[in-house]
Order: sequence, then C-alpha cells, then structure tokens
Amino acid sequence: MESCEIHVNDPLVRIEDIVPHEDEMERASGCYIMSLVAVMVGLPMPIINLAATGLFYLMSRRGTFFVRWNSIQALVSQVPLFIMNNILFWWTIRILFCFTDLSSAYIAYFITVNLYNVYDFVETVRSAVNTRKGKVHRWYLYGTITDKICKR
Amino acid sequence: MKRILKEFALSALLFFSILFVTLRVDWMSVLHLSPTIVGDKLLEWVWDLTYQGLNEVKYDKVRLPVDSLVHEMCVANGIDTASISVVVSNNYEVNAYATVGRHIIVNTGLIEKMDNEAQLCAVIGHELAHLELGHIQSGIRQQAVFQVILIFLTGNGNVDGLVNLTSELISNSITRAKENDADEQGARFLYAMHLDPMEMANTLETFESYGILSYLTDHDDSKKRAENIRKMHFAYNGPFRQVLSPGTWEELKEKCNRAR
Repeated sequence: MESCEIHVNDPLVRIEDIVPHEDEMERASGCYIMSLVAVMVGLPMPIINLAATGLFYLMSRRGTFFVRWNSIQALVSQVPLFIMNNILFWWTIRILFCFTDLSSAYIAYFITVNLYNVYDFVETVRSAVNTRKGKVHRWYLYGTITDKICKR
Repeated sequence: MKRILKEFALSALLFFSILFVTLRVDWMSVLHLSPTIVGDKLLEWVWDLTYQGLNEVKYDKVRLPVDSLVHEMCVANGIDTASISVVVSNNYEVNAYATVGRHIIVNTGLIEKMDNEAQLCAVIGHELAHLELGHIQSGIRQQAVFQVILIFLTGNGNVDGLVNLTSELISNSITRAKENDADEQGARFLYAMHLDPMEMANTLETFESYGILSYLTDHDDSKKRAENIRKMHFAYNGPFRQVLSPGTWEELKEKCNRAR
C-alpha cells in the first residue's frame, strides 16, 4: 500500500492521489462526524458547530495532508452555514421576543437556509463515509477553496 | 482563484435564486399566519396565568351590573363591546388596571370605595382610554416575553407575583402625559354616555383623599389631574342619567363587600 507520506511534499500531488493509512481515514472522517454532531447539537446556537469544527481542525492541523485537507474542508463548509444560521437564529430570537413581526420574508429565508442545512448535512454524511473508505469527497466550491488553503 | 470566484458566483446565484423564488410566495396567507402570532400566543398564555390568580367574582349581581356599565360606555363611544373584557377580581385593594389582551381588571375593593356608578365608570373609562389610545400596546408583548422568561427561570408560574408584576410593568410604561390623556378621554367617555364627566375629577380626588393612589403607581399628583379635568369644557347634553337602578348599585357594592 502506498503511503501518503511519500507524496506529502510534492506540490503537484492532488488530494485524490493520496492513499491514506487506516488511522488517517479515521481521523479525517472524524472531522466530518464532529461537524455533523455539532450541527445537530448546535442548531439552536450556530456558533457551537463552527467552534467544534474549528477545535477539531486545531487538533488535526499537525496531522498528515489527508487529515488536514479534510478537516479544512469540514471547517470551510461550516463558515457559510454559520453565517446563514446566525442570521436565522437572531431573526428568530427577534420574532420570539416580539421585536419584529413574523413575515413571509422570514419564512422564505427559513426555508432557503433549511434547504442549505439539509444539503450540508447530506454532503457531510457522504464525506464522512467516503473519507472513512479512504476516498476523497470533494465539495463544490469548498473543495477548491481547501486546495488553495491547505499547504502540503 | 478564478475557479473559486466562478464556483462562488454559481453557489451564490443558486442560493439567491432559491431565496428569490421563496420570497415570491406570500407564506403568511398560504399558512394562514398573522404577523403577531408569536406575541398573541404569548399574551394568551400570560393572560391565562394572570387569570388563574385573579379570583374572579362570578356572581351575576356583581358581573352583570359591571358588564352593563361597560356595554353602555362602549356603545356610546363606538367601541366594539366584544373586544373588551372586564373581570371583577375579589381583591380588597383599591385598584383597577388594563392588562394584556384588552382585559380590564376591577377589584372589589375599588367598587366598594366608589360613591356612585359614574365614579366606577370614570375608573373603567380611564382604563378603557389607555386601551383605546394604544398606551399599553407598545411594549406589552416584550413585557409578556419578560414574564415568560421569568416563569422559565423561576420554574413556576407564581400567579400572584405575575399579576402584580403585570400591572406594575404596564403602569410603569405609562407616562404622566399618557395618564392625563387617559383622564381626559375617560371624561369624554362619561360625557358621551350622559354621565357627569366631572365625576372623573371627583374620582381622582377620592383617591387623593384616601391616600391610596396604588391604583396605578404613576397616579400621584391626582389633585393636579383633577384640576385638568375641571378645566375641560363640556357642552350641556341633557340631564345626567343613571345606568343602574339605585337598588342594583347598592346591591353591587354590598356583594363586593360580602365577597371578601
């Protein structure tokens, strides 16, 4: 079995070309599991999932390229989710505390953000499963951003 | 970088397209929701809790005369009677207040102290004026939320405390200028139903003489307020009438006294 350590310092190697070790698969998959659990726990308080994913990234940043790449992708995917959920959260609080009225705009935003949350949830599950199998699940946009951010 | 920008633009386009499509739908109509549904539900809940602590007097001989006075006042002033609910509470405190959900609470202690039905109408008119002039609409929902939080924090719905807190919070939010407006509007309500509007001034002086003034915390300086009422000009609109028969009024006072 080819070790990823051989490729780590080669800038031309794509993440897809790396064959990770068993423990790397487990750790990389853990990043997505962590963000998945955090999303479920942190839905009422969006900061929790971002903080949890960020924490897991900090723990994994000294890991191999495969682990770091996946943890960064998990972190990057949480950023727009955090912003959208935060807006929704405070908007909801304002409605619950009667500082503003319930409106069609709120419901429209609620539906859109929830659709995005579902998409994020499905993609996170797929990423966790694929990563555990040693495959790379590249998200649209976030995968490209991760390529730019993640140094070998 | 170009690829990131392209993918970002496409993602943003997709997100905003979905948002745009969902914004085209009038969800409030589709789901039969009202904009103030959250506040309304909270108010209903707070009212239910408040009501539990009121000890409502349900004798017909107390309820019906008070309802008659309120009905007469509403009809004479073009107010929807069904939108106002007056509850007589078995409470010795000389107090009356408007509260959530267009409810007016009148204590038996207040009815006992009133010299005549016009004075009782003056107090009810004052509270009705607060409701009609929208004095307690602004901020009342926030107060309801505050109470809900308080209930959650304390873990119980201490209804006695809740009732006091409600009246206190509401009265604190009413400024002296609004009190004067409510006095004047209340006097106009009396005039419209052919009762002596000056009974509003008499009532304020009665409160002053009792030294009570707990009937709203910002009701100090009621002498000055009574003077303001006496300065108002009302054209003669015929002899003042009696809504309740003297016997009914006396019976009402007696029942309130006995309810204690």
